[in-house]
Amino acid sequence: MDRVLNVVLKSYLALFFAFIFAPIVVLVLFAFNDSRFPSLPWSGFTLRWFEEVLSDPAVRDAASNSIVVALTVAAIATPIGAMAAYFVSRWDFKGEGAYLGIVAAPPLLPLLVLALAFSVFFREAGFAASLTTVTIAHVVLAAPFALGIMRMRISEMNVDTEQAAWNLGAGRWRTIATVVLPQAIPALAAAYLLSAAISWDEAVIAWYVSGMDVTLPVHVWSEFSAKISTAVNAIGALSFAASISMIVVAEILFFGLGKRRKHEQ
Amino acid sequence: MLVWQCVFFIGAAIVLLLMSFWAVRDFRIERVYEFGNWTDILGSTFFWKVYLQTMLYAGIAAFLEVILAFPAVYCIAFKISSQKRRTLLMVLVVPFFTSYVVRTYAWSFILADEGLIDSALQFVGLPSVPLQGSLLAMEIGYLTYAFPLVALLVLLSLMNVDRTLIEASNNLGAGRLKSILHVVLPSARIGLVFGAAFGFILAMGDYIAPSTLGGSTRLTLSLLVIGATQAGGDFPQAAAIAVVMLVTLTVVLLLALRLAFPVRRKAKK
Amino acid sequence: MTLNMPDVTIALENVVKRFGNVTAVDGVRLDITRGEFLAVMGPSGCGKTTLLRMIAGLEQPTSGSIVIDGQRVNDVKPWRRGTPLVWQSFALFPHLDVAGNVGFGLRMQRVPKAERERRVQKALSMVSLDGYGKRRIDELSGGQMQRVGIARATVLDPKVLLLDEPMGALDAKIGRTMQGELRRLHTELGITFVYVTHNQSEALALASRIVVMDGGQIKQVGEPTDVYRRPQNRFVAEFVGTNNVFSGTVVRASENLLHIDTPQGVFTALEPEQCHKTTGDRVSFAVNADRVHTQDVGNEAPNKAHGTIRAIETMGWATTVSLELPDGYELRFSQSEREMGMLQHKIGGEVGVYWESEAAFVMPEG
Repeated sequence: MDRVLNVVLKSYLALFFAFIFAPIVVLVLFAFNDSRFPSLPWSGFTLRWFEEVLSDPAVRDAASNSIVVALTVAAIATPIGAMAAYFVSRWDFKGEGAYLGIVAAPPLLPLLVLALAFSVFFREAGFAASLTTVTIAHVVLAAPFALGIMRMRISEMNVDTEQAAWNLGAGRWRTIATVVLPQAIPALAAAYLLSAAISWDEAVIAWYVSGMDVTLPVHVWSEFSAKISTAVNAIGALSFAASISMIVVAEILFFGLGKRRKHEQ
Repeated sequence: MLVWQCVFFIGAAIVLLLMSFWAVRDFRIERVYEFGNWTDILGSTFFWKVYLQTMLYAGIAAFLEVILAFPAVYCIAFKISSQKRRTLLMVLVVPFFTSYVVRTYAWSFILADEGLIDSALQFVGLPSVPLQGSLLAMEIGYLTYAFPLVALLVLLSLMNVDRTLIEASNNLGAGRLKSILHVVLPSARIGLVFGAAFGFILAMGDYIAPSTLGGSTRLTLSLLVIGATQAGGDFPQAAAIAVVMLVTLTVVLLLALRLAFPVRRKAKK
Repeated sequence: MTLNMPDVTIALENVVKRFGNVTAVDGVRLDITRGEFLAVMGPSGCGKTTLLRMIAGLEQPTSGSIVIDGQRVNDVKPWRRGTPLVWQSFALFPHLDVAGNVGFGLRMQRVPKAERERRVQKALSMVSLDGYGKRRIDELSGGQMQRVGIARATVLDPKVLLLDEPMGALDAKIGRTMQGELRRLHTELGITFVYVTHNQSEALALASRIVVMDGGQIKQVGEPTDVYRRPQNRFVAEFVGTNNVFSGTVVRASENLLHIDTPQGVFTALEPEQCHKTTGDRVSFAVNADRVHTQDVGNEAPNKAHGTIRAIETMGWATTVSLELPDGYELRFSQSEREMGMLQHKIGGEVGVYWESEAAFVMPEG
């Protein structure tokens, strides 16, 4: 009975994973289909859709906008998230719960509400909708993730090493520079990549808050939400490739390959 | 970090709230504080119909997410070795960080008339099933959005279940299923409750699934919001609807907190 | 009173430390002499580590002063105190190699590279880790890590070395080897060592002076023999060594010998010089377990007891026997293996014991 249950459960698990990965796998697969409409029957393997979208200036512009925004967002979100993580991890203070609540709330709210709020805020504050506003909004969304990652990493670091550094003559800032940062670099890189991925993927807020220059997901959405075509598959496949590689590298950086070093404790 | 969040996040939230009170006259937004929008919305049966419909769809989504995720998560928590589990989780998390819009688009072409499933069925000679724009398609969209998060929440709870309790339960004669019902589920309650709550909240707030997969014919609050801003630039009304969503969200979270962490009565002497 | 005033390097003046409503250190007054090996000993939670951390500047006293070389350092930041610490958890920097760890403090002082390398080599030699400079921390054993920790501290030529239960994370055997090394280091360096531990044998073996603490207060300060043989109060008697503590009323006081009536019988005990008890006073006295011997027939000893054996614990080289006296009092005596062998003790058997008056010490503080 036990074994049957095991088999059933594991097959279910496989199905579950299949469901979650289906859109990704199928989309990528059919981006190579030599037919205008991504469906069966399979007409043959081709790269022409990739060629087509990569030479489309609108796509190129949107993609480069997305890249610039993503890199900038990550460059802002990672340090502020990391500093907040250090602050929260190493100091006890009243109102820590409230602080975390405010600071980490954005990802929990419906994207649409956030999008609307940002949109009206920027309008009222006099900021013109542009890539800058998208960047600002994305930082609000991505920074909590950076915070989460760095918190995990900092809590793993032996706090004695920091006090040992003080004890040996390093002031607060020198300790952070010479002891905390070096140990945190892989995690910082992971946080950077994660924040970048989040910005790269994000469509709803970007759509609401961007002006003439759009990011890639917005472009996909606005141009092709009604039309299904293999060309769009190609764009999607490229987008997936970028996101997935960023996430996988981030995971490797954060978790390390193989065993974790135990000596840190 | 607090500074940034406060300025841009809290600031935005406040403006949203304020805006819900403003009025639209002649396609211009005037900063007056009146309840016009609110009476319009709260007094409209149409609005309430959409509201309830949204609640229904989100409720179905939350229910499906938890039920469907549970066996898979149970398997991960109890049947897989720790090393494999970590790799598995690392893999599971990846789709979560790919673009939701693109994934939804992928489903739309899978489910579309003349889409993947359709042509596969035709190929085999079965009649085509109209999936595009169906409730099922929309729910699939919600699932795609929320599954990773819900699965993680439930998983965390399950991993914290005390194994010895299960052994004790088996030892006392409860079979596997009974042990699950009476020991595992209650212990995992926190994860289940929050999984359902967040599954609900995410579904309630989502715009992409209803519009792309639901065919925009099944109205949800999110569609109303976008509709308001698109058509006449009626941001105040959209803001009001958004505030309603936020209030609902808060209520759901409070309920979840209550359910997950019940206040115990003191034992009477 | 000695004529030479000892050279005080660290003075703790009425130091109090409270965490919320928990008092970790309760009005400690202590003078630490230059060059001594001072052990601060006590059970977990007695405040010894907090005391050490306050000297290093990692905790701030709630009240009272910490004075180093005549200067009040309460407001001096930890990185300016010059009191390097050897940590129980080693606290080595995982991202630096051994040489990087040892040279860290020198780097902070901006010592030029050549001199730094020279001093690092010298420090590593002193802890028998020549050639380990390029090793990574995760390649080291516990004992080696601790030596790196010691080298990291000594390389700074400090006036004081603080050690926080340095053997706490090491195996017993490695710990014993390290003890010898620490003693040697202390002699070679000639600096003050302040050594915190809950392990008595370490403290008794290493220290020139011991401070016994409990509940944030100092219970006794003295040389190891003093603390071991002449406990000032019940806590020290029960914490250090194995002592039998008796309480009773003085029935006769002669010279420095007291005759005390206890529920277990009338016994004689030595009175310390400052103590002047008279008839009728209530006193407690302690008898070391290794000063209690089994009775040979016909032995005329002033202090005798007779009881049933309840437990026999062997530590290999010695055995401790628990006797239950008629009124329920548990008396313990230790014997070497040879003595044990000569007399067959069995649980449940009856045995008579005795001890000399000189073995019984009246505790001034009760």
